[in-house]
Amino acid sequence: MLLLGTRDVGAVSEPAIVAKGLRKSFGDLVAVDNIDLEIPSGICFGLLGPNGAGKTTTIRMLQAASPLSGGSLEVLGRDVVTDGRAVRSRIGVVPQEDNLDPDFTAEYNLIVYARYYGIRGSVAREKTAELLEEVGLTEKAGEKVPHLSGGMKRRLIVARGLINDPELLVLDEPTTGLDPQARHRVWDQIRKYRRKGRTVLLTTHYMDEAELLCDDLAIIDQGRILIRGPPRKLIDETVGREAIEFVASPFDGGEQALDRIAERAAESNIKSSRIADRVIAYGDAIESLATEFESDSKIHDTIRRRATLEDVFLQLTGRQLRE
Amino acid sequence: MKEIFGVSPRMVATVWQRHADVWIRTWKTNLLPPLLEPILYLLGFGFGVGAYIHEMGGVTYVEFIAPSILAISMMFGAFFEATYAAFVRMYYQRTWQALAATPASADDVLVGELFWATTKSVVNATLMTIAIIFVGFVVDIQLLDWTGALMMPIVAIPIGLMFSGMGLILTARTPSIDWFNIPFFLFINPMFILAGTFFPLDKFPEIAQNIALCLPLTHAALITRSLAYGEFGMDVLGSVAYVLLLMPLMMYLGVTRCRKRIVS
Repeated sequence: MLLLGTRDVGAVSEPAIVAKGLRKSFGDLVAVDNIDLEIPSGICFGLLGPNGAGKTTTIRMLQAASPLSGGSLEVLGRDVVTDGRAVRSRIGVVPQEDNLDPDFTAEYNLIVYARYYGIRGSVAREKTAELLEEVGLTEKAGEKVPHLSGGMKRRLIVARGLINDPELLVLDEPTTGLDPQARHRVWDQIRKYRRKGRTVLLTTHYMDEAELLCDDLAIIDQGRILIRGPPRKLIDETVGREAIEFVASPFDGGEQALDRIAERAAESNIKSSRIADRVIAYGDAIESLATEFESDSKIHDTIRRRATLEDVFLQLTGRQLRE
Repeated sequence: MKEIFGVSPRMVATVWQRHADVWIRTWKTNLLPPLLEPILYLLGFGFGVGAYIHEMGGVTYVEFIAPSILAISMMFGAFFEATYAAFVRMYYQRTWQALAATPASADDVLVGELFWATTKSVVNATLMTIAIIFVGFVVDIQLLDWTGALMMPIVAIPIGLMFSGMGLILTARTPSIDWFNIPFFLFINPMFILAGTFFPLDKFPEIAQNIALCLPLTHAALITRSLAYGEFGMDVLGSVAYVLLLMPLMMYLGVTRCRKRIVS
């Protein structure tokens, strides 16, 4: 009895994803390099990083579409290597690319996809109608896929990923290439699903998206986790709340002015990032830097703003996102 | 879920149903071309050339090429579907990847492709059989033995599986859709002419005969010929064995080679 009780408690708090020493290499290229990661159930987790960081590879491993080169990976308590089919039946995947069926209508795309989960007939039709309503595509139900806009296609792909009521929804760069309005609609869908207490894993290279949606996240680069934690905590701990940007023209002595600021920041133990046409300084002591350089004729502009995840990334990697 | 060698029959059926759904939705453009071409060959060669040739391999020329055209339509049905059409699904529409994200596995998707391509062979064989019988009525010649005619869609299954396996092997390797022109030009088209289809093999030089006997279409045509003539003799057993041996080998290689296109 006691044992049974313990198990039940265990089942409730069972993590959605457990990766131990996860590795993936393609020949000489190491895409995922010894990642240890445990993602609890019921949260929205972000996997952040530039293109080629290993995000898509990790997602492909989650759905057993990419064999592991090393380590282990459990999803919803099942080993993806031995139990890939069972894992896929309980998760929803929203890929980066548009792989909808162009020969079918929006509605029929969902009905055909439902069959793989054993959902057929009137149940499938009801589920499809409900999902189309949820993503605001009811009026486009009878429209063939090539006639839908990019944003509509994306929402349809999200709806398709929800057809089996997944316990874990995995989205690979869900808003890349969308206009601002379409991005907000996709974000709404993710939030709605998250509010049901389900787990979301999303990858993105948009730091604002991650800050807005994720309860917890990991920044990865070159297949390794650089840092992990809730977005606000990562910002506070890495760069503090405030940031100031000194903008100069990269010509006519602007470079030298920026170099001077960076030098002075280093001397005064102020964290800073030097990128392209600006220096960004962080922390409580930045006002002293501002008073000193604000009136410098070579500095066009001084921007005070809240620190963001992007600043965290710049601090960690010392360079810009490779978009 | 029930599995045979790691392949789920239920998932394969679901993949097959998806392809059938697409085909049904676009049947007007899908049905006519593969039928018209062989019928043109039958009428053009059978009666056009046939008017100058009294006899070929012991029968009239139109009787000689009717079973050849059946074998060719089985080959094209499967081969086209497992190359060009499969490549469009794999590369342009990313259908394979979409399906492999569901409980269906890469192998389920590929076996579904094989069965679907074979279905095209069976459909082609059925429609061509009906068309040939109809032409036979019009010109008042019985072009197909009745039992043989009923058997055509059935032999289209192993023949179709063999050719669709070959198609998938090529699809696994091809870097772009244009590349399929090479195997079609170097393999399919020569076979189309030289596999004892438009003239009998026994007048060939011996070396050419031996080469022809290695070609899969030669044996497919020998099988349809024996059925069309209503002679199910021992001499066709070699061809049946050839198809039944090559079929599982091609299917296995097709699935295992293409797997890398989905799982990597």
